[in-house]
Formats: sequence, structure tokens, C-alpha cells
Amino acid sequence: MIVKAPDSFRDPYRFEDIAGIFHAHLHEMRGMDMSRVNFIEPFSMLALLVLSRMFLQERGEKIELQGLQPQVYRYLERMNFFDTGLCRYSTPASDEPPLTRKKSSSSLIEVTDIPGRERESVKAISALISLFRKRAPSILKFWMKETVVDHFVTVISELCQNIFEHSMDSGYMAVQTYTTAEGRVFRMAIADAGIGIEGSFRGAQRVSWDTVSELMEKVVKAPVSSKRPFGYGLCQVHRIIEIMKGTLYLRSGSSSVAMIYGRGDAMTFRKDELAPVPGTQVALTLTA
Amino acid sequence: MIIHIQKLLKSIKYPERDLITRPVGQRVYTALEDQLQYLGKGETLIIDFEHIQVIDSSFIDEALVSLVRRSMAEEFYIRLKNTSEIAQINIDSVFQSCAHYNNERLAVITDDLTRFNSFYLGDLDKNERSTIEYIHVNTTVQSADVETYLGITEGDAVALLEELHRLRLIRSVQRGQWAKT
Repeated sequence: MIVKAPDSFRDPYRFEDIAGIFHAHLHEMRGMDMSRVNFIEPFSMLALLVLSRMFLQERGEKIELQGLQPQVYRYLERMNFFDTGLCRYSTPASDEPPLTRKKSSSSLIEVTDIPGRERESVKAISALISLFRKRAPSILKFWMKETVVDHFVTVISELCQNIFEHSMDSGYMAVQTYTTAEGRVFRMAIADAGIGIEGSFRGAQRVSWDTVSELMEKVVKAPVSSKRPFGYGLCQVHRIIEIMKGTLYLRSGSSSVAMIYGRGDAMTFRKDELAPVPGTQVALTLTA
Repeated sequence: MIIHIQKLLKSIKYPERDLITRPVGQRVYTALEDQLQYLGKGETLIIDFEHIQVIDSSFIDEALVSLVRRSMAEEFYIRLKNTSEIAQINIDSVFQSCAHYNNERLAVITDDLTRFNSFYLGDLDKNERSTIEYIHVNTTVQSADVETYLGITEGDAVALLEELHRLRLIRSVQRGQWAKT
């Protein structure tokens, strides 16, 4: 069975439609018809990879992505999405050439593996940060202040370390600056298919929670850790996003928390009972 | 004693300008520990972060928090030099977290004025902050000076100075006299 995917890869909130499809049809679907999908942003792309991994583990075969529109295919190809080897796909007929790959890409960082082992992960994070520093003047040109690049280097370091320290899995990272009808968007996404935030804190005696989204808000707003007396990572990321007046979206298992600092008063939205997605996925967004 | 972090990083074959991750923090702390054997009691260790950009919280927890705790236990002083703005934010944030969530007060003196308009990073109250500024300008103070400057009792002034000394933010010169580190 091929399930028709809605055009819901435009932001982390709409991606819930896709998570719902995987949850409802995991055991009978063979693939997704992507012909209605016009655009994919980094969080949705990485979340699709996580779901594709889940599909492969559960079904023992790769999910098939059918009917990719040429511009979507070209984007995924440019972002090295297909290099992960988690999906089957067919190349759409198109006269347009592949997206160019300049040595110094103007506005993105391709899907990058973050290994699950400490030694390899530290090397990968260093390499990723070097690449980010090189490309940051283009990626962040609409937000360029002296400290913005350093803030995001901290964010990359903290979130990627969480993958090897807490998820018990490897993960991915991707960055893209793009333009929508509402303006320019910088989005950094980091995702893993590991044990998730609740799994990481299960058995931790210092922290209690009623709902997982409440736990997620706690770990973002206070330096709590499942392993040590403290865990500064997510808390530090939250502080930076607050300083930069951006948005932090965190999804883990069947819960999510969104913290929005962009305009007016700060807002926090928590949700539980979403369609389950393995691991933890994070999106950081600045708009201009 | 002055330790140039960039040189120390070369010695451990980590030629990066960002100090990130716990494993790197552990390596740097081990390298710093090797240097501490040459540091006398009551001496000041100046750590120069010239050319270093980001210092993340994992690194701070492994290297700097451990070093500050050790300075409190072994009576030596630490001053940070040439810290970047993001390093100051992250160090301050980790030290504040230690105070608010673990009841452990940590702070460190800086050579340069920080983005918080102070010559320290960490969790100090208003009177402690004023005293650090006063000592930064006057180099040496008596407890009576602080008593007058802050308008507090002699007992409170002595307690405040002793706490700043416990945190290794000021040096105890002789009975009733304190100085910059």
C-alpha cells in the first residue's frame, strides 16, 4: 500500500501529519506518494529519516518514496538525504540540472551523521563546527552580529553531545536558511532515533514528572540531567534561543514542547499524546 | 603563573579554537593539573584564553569547575584573561546553575571587564559585587573600608570578605586586610 503524503513537510508542527501516517499505517504501507509535497524544511527532512529508520527496523525493508517532485528531489539530493541509504526512490524526469554544489555553499549544511560513540562523535562535532564557521557568514547573513555564530557553535556542541551521551543512538544534523511568504527563516535541526528524553530520565530519582511534555519543559528550563548532578546542554540552548529571540521546538516520543521568544511575550506550548516518533528531534528557528 | 590555553592545546594536539565537549575538557584539565605542581600556595594562576572563541558548558563543567573547586581546597587563586563574550555567558551560566540548583557557590575573577560589567563571573550578591569592584580599584582594603563603603556592620564586612576569600576571589594578606588576587 502506498499512502499519499500531504504537503506537510513545511514546518515541525505540520510534520505531525506525517508522523500520524507512519503510526497508523506502519505495518501495511510500503511507501509514500510524495507527489503533493512541494517543499521540505530541515526538521521535517531529519524527522523523515528517523521514521525511515524505524520503518527499516520494524519492517526489514526500506520505505519507498514515490512521485517526488523535481524540486523536492533536487533539494533532497543536494542535502545528501539519499546518501543515508534509508529510502528507495526513483529519480523524477526533469530537464533541470542538479542544484549546484559550490565549495562554500551559500545557505545550508547537508545532512551530517553524528556518531553514537564518544570518540567518533567528538571528531564529527569538531568537523561540523569548522564547516559551520566557514559557511556561517552566508547562512546567518540576515542575523549577523558578532556573537551569533559563537552562540550557534555552542548550540551545535551541546545538542550533538546529547546524542552520544543520552540517546544511545547516532543522529543527524542539518541547517538551512530559506525564504517563505512570511520572510526569511534560519532553521537548524538535530535528530536521533534513540531512547528519547523520557527513556533517558527513567529511573532518575531527582526528577519527577506527570507528563512527558512537563519533563521536557523541565530539562529545557533547568539544568537537570539523567546522568549527572547537572545537565547544562538543553538549558544552555534554551538560554541562547531566549537571548536571540528565536524559537526552540523539541519533540520526543509522543510529546513536544515549543518555546517562542520571537515577538511579544514569551510563549510555551506543550503537547502530549502525539503520534510516537522514536528518539528526540530539535528545531531551532530564527526569522527575519 | 600564566597558562596560555592555545599553547596548552597544541601540547595535547588539539589545535582548535573552540573548547567543546566533556572529553576535551577532561584532557585539558589533566594538562592543567600537570602545571599545578609548579604553583605555590597562595599564588595566582592566570589562564589566558586568547584566540579561543567558544567554551561550552560541558567543557566548563569538566575543566573550569574542577579547577575552581581545587583552588578553594588548596588555596590558590585563578584569574581568567581574554575570555570571549560567549565564553563569559557560558561560564556565568554554569556557575549560576551550580549556585541555584546545587547550593554550591562558584565564581572566578577576570582580568578584563566582562559583558556583565563586572570583573568576575559567577553568583555574587550586590554587596559582594561592589566589594570586588572596590578591591579592583583600590588593590588592598581593610574590613573597616568595606564597612564604610557599603554601610554595613563590621561583623558583616568581615563575614563578606571571608566569604570572598573562601571563593578565592580575594587574597587574605594579614589579619583584617585583603587584596586583589
